[in-house]
Amino acid sequence: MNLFLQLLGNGIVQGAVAMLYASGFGFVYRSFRVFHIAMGAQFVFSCYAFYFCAAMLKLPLALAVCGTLALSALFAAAIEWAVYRPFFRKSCSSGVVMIASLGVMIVVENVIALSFGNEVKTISNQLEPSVAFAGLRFTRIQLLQFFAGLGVFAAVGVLVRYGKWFKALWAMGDQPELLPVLGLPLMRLRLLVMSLGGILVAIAAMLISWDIGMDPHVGMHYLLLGSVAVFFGGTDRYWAWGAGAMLLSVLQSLAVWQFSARWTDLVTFGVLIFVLLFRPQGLFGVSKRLEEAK
Amino acid sequence: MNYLLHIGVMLGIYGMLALSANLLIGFGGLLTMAQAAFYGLGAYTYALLSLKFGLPFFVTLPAAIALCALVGWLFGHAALRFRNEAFVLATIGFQMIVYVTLYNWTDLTRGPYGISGIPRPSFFGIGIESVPAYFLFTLVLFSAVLGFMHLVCRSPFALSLKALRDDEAAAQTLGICPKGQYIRAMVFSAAVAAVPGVCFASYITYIDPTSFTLTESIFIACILLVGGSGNLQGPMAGVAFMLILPELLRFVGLPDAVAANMREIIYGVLLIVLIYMKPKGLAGAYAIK
Amino acid sequence: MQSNSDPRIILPVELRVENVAKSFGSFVALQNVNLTCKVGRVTALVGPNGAGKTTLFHVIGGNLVPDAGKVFLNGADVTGLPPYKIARRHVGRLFQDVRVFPALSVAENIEVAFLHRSDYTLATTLAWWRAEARERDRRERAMKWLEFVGLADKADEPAGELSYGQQKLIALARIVALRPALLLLDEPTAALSPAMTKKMVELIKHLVAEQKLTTVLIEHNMGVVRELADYIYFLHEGTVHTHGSQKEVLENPAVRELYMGLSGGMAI
Repeated sequence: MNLFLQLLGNGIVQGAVAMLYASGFGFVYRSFRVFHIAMGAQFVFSCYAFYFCAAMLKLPLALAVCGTLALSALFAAAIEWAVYRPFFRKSCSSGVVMIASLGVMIVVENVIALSFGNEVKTISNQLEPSVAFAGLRFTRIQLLQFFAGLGVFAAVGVLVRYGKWFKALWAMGDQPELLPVLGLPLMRLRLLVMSLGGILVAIAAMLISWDIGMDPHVGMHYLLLGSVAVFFGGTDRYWAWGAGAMLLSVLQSLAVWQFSARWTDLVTFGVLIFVLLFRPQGLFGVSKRLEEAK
Repeated sequence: MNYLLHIGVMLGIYGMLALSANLLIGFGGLLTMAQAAFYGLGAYTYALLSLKFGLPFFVTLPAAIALCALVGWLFGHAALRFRNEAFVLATIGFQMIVYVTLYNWTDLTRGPYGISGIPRPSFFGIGIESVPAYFLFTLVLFSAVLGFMHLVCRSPFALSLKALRDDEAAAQTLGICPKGQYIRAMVFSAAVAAVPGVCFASYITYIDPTSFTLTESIFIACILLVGGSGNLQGPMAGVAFMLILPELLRFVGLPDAVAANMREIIYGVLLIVLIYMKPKGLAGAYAIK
Repeated sequence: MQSNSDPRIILPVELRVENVAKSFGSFVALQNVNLTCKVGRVTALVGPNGAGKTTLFHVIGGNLVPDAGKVFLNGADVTGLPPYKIARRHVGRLFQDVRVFPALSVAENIEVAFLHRSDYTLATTLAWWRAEARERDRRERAMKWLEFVGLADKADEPAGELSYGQQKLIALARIVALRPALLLLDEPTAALSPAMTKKMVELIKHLVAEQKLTTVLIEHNMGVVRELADYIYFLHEGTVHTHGSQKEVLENPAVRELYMGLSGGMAI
C-alpha cells in the first residue's frame, strides 16, 4: 500500500510540472492552430540556458532563474519572428507550419548537442534531502515542483480568466482575421502567446532539469507528453490541459505500480489512441460543431 | 571500394523506404510518422523466422511482407478516419507503441539486447556473404520495388489517391471512397516497407529497437519533404541528398560526432527554407498543403 | 466500362425529399422541407442567402445527415449515405466554390470521373501491357468532354492555374463525364462574367435537352432561372415558402416582397 501511495505521490508531483509544459504547448496550439513541435526545442533550450546560468556562469540561483526566464522568452520571440510569422503572413496551412516547427526542433536540438555535448548534464551535484510529507517521503525539489507547478498554473489561470487580452487569445485561434478588425494588435498578441508559453515551459524545464539533469534530446519526449496531455484533457479549455496532464501522470505512475517503469510510454500512447478513437474532443472538451460541411 | 558498396546498400535500403512512404505522403497527402515501425516489423519478422525456424528467404520475405500488410490494414482502419494533424498524431502513437513493444517484450524480441546472428539469405546453397554480393542483392530488390512503384504511380489507383489528396470532397462526388482507397495505400506502403527491413536485418545481421525509432520515422518523412514526393524523382533526390551529405561532411574532415549533428542542422534548416520557398521539395511533384 | 460512343440508357431519376429538418445547435437550418423533382425536369431552388439551399444540397448529397426526414432517389431511401455512395447512384454534384484538383492536369481532372472500383485491383495495377491502352481510352473520352466545354486546348495544364470561370467549366465537365442521371448544381453561374454565364447556361441547356437529366439548380441570377427552370421552389428561413411554375412563383407578390426586400434590388 505504501508503495502505491508513494508512486501515486510521485505521479502527482510530476503531474504538477506537466501542467506547465502542457500549457506551454496548449497556448500556442490553441491560438496559432499549429502543432507546436518547437515546444520541445523551447524545453531543451531552457534546460541548457539554466545550465549556462547556474552551472557555467555560476550565478546565484535567483539570478540564474531570472536569466533563464528572460532567455527563454527571447527565444520564444525569436521563433515567432523568424519562423511562425513569415508563414502566417504567407497564409500557409497549419501542416506546412508544423513541418517548419519540426525543422526548428531539429536545428536547436543539434546546435545544443554540438555546443554542450551529448552526455547528461546536471545542475546540482548534491544529494537532495528528503522530507516526510503525509506519511510519504519526497525530496525538497519534488515539493518545490508540486507547489511551483500548481501555483504557477493557477496564477496563469487567473490571468486567462480575468486578463484583458487573454480572451482575445481564444478568438485568435478561431478567427485571426477578426482581430485587427476589432482593433486588437494581432502581432503583439502572437508575441505574448509565444513568450507566455516559453516562460511556462522554462519553469517546467528548470524544475525538471534541477532534479534529473538534461541531455540534448529530451525535447521530443516532453513535447509528446505535453501534446498528449492537451489532447487528453481537451484542446479548448485551459484548465482541461492541466487536468489532462495531471491525469496522464497519475495513470503513468499506476502503470509503474502495476507493471514496471518500462511500460509508461505505452500508457501515454495508449491514452492517445484511446482519445483519438473514442473521445476526440478530449475528456473535458465539447463535441466540435460542424465547422464546414464537406 | 567496400565502403562505396556499403553506401550503395544503404542507399538501396533507404530508397525502398522512401518509395514506400511516398505512396502515403506524396500520393495520399497523409504525412505518416510510422514508417520506421513497419520497417522494424519487417526486420524483426525476418530475423525471428529465419533464426528460430530456419525458414528460407523465399518464405521469410513474403511472410514479413504479409505481416506488415496485415498490421497496416488493421492500423489503417483505426487511423484513416483522421486527416492532417490528427492523422500525424495517430501515426506517432502507433510508432511509439510498436517501439515500446519491441523494446520491452523481451521474451520475443530480446529487447534492447537485440537479435544477433541473423542469417544471410542463401539461394540453392549459394549464400550472399560478401559486400559486393550484398550490393547486387540489394540492387535487385530495389529494382523490383522501383519497378512496382513505377507501375503503381501510373495506375488508376494513384490517380484516385491524387484526386483525394487534392480535394477529398470533390473526389467523393466522383464516386471515390476515401477510406477504402487510403487503407489500400496504407497496406501497400506497409507491405513495401517490409522489404528494406528484411534487407537491413540480413545485411547487418544484428538488429535492435534503436534502428526503428520515431526519430527514424521522422528522418524518412524528411527525405520526402526535402527531396519531394508525389513522383519517383523526388524520393530518389531526397535519399541521395540525405545520405550522401553526411559522407561529404566526413570527407571535409569533420569528426564523426560533429558530422552527425551538422547533418541534422543542415537538413533542419533546409526543411524550414524549402517548405517556405519550394514546398515541392528538390524534385517532387506535390506541394505539401 | 462503356465507351463514349455508346449512349447508355440512363435510368431516369426522380428525387424526392420528405420532411427534412436539420439544426446546428440552436440554429434551425431546415425545417419541414418537402421537394419533388420529376424526371427530366429542371427544378430551381431560389431564396435569400441563408435560406438553407446549400444545406439542403448537403443533405441530399450525403455530406450532412438530417435530424429528421428522408431523401429518396426513385423511391429508394438514400438518407445518410456517404457522398461517394450517392455519387455511385448517378448523382452529379457541383459545389458552390469551385473544386478542381489543382495539382492534376485539366484532362486528368476529367479522367478521375472514369475510375471504377475494378481499376484498383493489384492485377490491374501490375498488368502494364494493358495500362497504355486504358490510359489512351480514358484520355480520348476526357478530350471529348473538354471539347464540349471548349477547353480542349488546355488539356495538359495544371487545373489550378486556370481562371475561375474555366475551372467551373472543368468542374461541370467532370460531373457530366460521370454520366449522372441527377444533377445538383449549386450556383453554377456565381461570380462568372456575363459571357461565361451565357456559355454555362448554354451548356446546361444542351445537356438537359440531350440527356433529359433531372436537374436541381440553386441560383440567384433570375435571368438564368427564367431561362432554365421548369419548376421553382422558393425557400425562406429553412422552409419551402412557395413552389410552382415560373409564373406562379416569380410573380407572387409575397415572394417578391421577401426576396426583393431582403436582397435589395435583385431584379426578378
